[in-house]
Amino acid sequence: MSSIYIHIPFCHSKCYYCGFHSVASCKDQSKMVDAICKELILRSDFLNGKTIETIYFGGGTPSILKIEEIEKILNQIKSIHTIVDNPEISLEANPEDLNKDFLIGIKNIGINRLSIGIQSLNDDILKFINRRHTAKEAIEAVCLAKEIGFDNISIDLIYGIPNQDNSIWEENLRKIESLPISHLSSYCLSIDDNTVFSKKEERGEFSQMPEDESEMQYRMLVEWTKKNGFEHYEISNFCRDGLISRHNTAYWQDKPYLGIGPAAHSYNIETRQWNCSNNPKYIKAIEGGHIANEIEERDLDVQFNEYLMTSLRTKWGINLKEMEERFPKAWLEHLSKKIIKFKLHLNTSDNKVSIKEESLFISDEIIAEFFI
Amino acid sequence: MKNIRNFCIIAHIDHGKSTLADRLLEETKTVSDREAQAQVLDDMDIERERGITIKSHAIQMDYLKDGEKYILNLIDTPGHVDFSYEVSRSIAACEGALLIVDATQGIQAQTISNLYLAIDNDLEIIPILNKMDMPNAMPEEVKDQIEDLLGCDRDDIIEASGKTGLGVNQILDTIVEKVEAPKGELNDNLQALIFDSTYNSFRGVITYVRMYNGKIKKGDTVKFVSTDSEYKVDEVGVLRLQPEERKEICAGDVGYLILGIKKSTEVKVGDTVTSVESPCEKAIEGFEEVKPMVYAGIYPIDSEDYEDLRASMEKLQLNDASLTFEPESSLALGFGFRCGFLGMLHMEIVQERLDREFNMNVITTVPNVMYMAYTRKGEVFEMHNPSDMPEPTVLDKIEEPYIKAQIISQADYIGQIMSLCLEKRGTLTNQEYISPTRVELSFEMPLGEIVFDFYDKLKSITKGYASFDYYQIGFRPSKLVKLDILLNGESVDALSTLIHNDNAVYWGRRMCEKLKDLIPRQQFDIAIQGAIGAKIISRETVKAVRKDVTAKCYGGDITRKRKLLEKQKKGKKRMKQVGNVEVPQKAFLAVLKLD
Repeated sequence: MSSIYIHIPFCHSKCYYCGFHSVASCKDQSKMVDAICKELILRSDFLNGKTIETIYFGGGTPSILKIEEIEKILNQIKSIHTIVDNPEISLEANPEDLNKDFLIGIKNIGINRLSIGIQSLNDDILKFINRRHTAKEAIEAVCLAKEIGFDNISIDLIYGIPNQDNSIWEENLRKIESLPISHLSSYCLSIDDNTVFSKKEERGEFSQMPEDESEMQYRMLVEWTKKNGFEHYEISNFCRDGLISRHNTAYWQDKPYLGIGPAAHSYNIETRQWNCSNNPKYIKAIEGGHIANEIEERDLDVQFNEYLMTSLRTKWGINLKEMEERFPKAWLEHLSKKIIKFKLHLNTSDNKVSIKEESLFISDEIIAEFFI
Repeated sequence: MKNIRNFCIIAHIDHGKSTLADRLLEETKTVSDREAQAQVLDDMDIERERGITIKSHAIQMDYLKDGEKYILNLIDTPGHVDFSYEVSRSIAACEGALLIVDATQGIQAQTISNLYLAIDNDLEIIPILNKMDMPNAMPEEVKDQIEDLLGCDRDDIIEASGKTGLGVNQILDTIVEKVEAPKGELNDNLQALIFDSTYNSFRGVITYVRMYNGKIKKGDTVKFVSTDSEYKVDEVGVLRLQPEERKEICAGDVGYLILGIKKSTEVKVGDTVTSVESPCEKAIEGFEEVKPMVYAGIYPIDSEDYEDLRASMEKLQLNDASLTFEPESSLALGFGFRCGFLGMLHMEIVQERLDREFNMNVITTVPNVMYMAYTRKGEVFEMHNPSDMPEPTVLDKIEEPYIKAQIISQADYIGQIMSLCLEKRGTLTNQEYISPTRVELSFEMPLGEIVFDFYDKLKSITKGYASFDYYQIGFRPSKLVKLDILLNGESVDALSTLIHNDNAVYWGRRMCEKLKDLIPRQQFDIAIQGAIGAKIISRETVKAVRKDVTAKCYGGDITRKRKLLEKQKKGKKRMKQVGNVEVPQKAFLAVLKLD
């Protein structure tokens, strides 16, 4: 089983917190779609003929694309790869793009999961982080999508935003209670390099929320999701009715994936690769028939560390039995010592080790020490 | 011998000594353009980076004047008070000294103290006003200061610039004209002064000497007066940019000896070399065993590296004979070494060299000076470590080392300097105006109060204007108590300090506050307590970590996230596990820098 990720590097405007590659100008849009289709051909062997289980349009803002453009890319994938009977085909969308025609269009071409970037349901906060929609528009978009027949809808919410105090956060959670969603991705605001917030922070115009307060908001989130029937299956991800994000879960479970488009990352167990994050350069390379990317061979210690890092993000955790087969004994002994050291923070049973829900907010502290 | 001139350079730190030396070497074609780089004589990376001279260096130049060839031996000396004994021996090896004064800053404390050393050794002083190219040079004012200080003729002061090369020829001419040729008898018994040594992994220890009387050649048997050890001479030579072998070196020369010595501690700066067959009647005056001023423990961060650390320290000692160490163990830190240093700069350099040259991650514990402890039974012993302090029932008294400090500053800052020195338990002994706007203050103070951050503070309260020098004046009784620091209830001996009773509570409080800032949040709350004996005098708490999470990990970019966590792990490797608390390397030293 494997996955394909398509990166759409365009946005109407840049959100202040976002560190993903995208440009706020769509002038090369159709060229980009052509390049993406061509890259799919150039890298048709990357997954060694494995069946595709999930396809994910991420960005940037994939809902900027025309329906025909999305269809063109999907058709290209189908013409090259075998796809399972019940694939998960997701598209990230901004509320302002989700009108009736667009929703019907993407549903008809096979998109069966929407990830809607709501981020906050407070208009002042939305302005503060430079979103282009209001809270009301976001709620309407979710309801409309459901009406048109999307049964697998995920939304994004950010907490730990300075100014978004506990009462606003609580109000956010209350407001989504009635929304027809099956999945929630809720992230603590982190200040990535090359974001507007990171620049503001350097200039001293912005300071992060104190950690005790953001931890409080995490606790509120966890409590709210429990009460509302969500399962906490990854640090920042919650689902109902078992509807995990199959695509993102593949990242955390060491499955191969092909990433297409500028700045997209790919993984085939032996290597990790990432495309150059410059739209004209990317297009030019593809037009010339080659891929502008960097390749990292994965030594065994990297494999060990990455397995720990990704697996321990999830409720499934690590499997010591599997690790014994892959890694040297000395590393596992190191790991056992650390497991004892952090036992208060861990669930352990039947060779499985995972981080307790109440300790996930300090998971880096634990994972870094597990590293070899 | 009449065409030899031996001279050194004395200057306050940063007055441009090394740069001016570079110009002299270029002018005399001692270095080719190809070899030229800034601070030619400073060959350690640390010396170049910090712009300071740590080791003494010597170099021979040829200079043609009025058709006659002269040999000029320049001995470059360290410019920091930690190394003042080495400076004094280098001065003793010369007949002349270039007194370099920065035209933008004027005379400073070290200028004066080194100048007195030079005058005591009857050196011919050649005053030089350096950095004349700077727009803020104040030549007339600084010349007034030099005139007052030396009683020299104003016209004898040479205007120079290490940057532009101004005055370089005049300096060389003046050296030849004014500095006396060395005195000494070629036919007398061998008498030579050791002024430095270096270590070469192929040749062993290379001893630098100034020849006073007699001569020395390959195959001779010589001995060191202070240690009475005998050696066969493998090689003699002079110090060009690289050592150059010669058949013999004679009275008046500056040169090097290779004696098959493997341990640098055998070679003591200031010692006299003489012949075994016909020894000189007496040793050259001024030899002293160099005694460490500051002691601190050095421990490996990972206890398993103890043996590696020992090997590294031994290697380091090969070209730093003033470093002393002996094994010790600490309840908190395990096995390590008690080390003696010439001062705080020396200590920092040792720690940095261990890190750079030997890749050793070490913890340096809170440093202290040496104390004398007297017991009621009348025993006396040296205390190198606060944990050596006898029980109160046994202890009669403690004495601590005192120094005489000389501070030169703009008169505007007298008030601030006085209060700083009083705060550091100093007493003013003299106050003298060296010009209407500049004053020299003398204090007697405990050494323990100045070794840590005194100089930094002095610089900051006087906006960098004050300069400072000191020498030891013996031990005096003092009311000292041991301040212990407890982490989660366990005493961390490496953080113990001896402090004056009157300051104990304040220090205890400040140390806990400082540690609170330095110890990162961990899995659990950490109690930091200050205690004197069984009495807790202060407490702070480091709250348990609440948030340490990579919230977003999707889009497939696993590599970058992994690297961030690897960096985090590396940071932890630089911390020492003390009980169940991880203490960062810098915490052990930074606690001293209390405001």
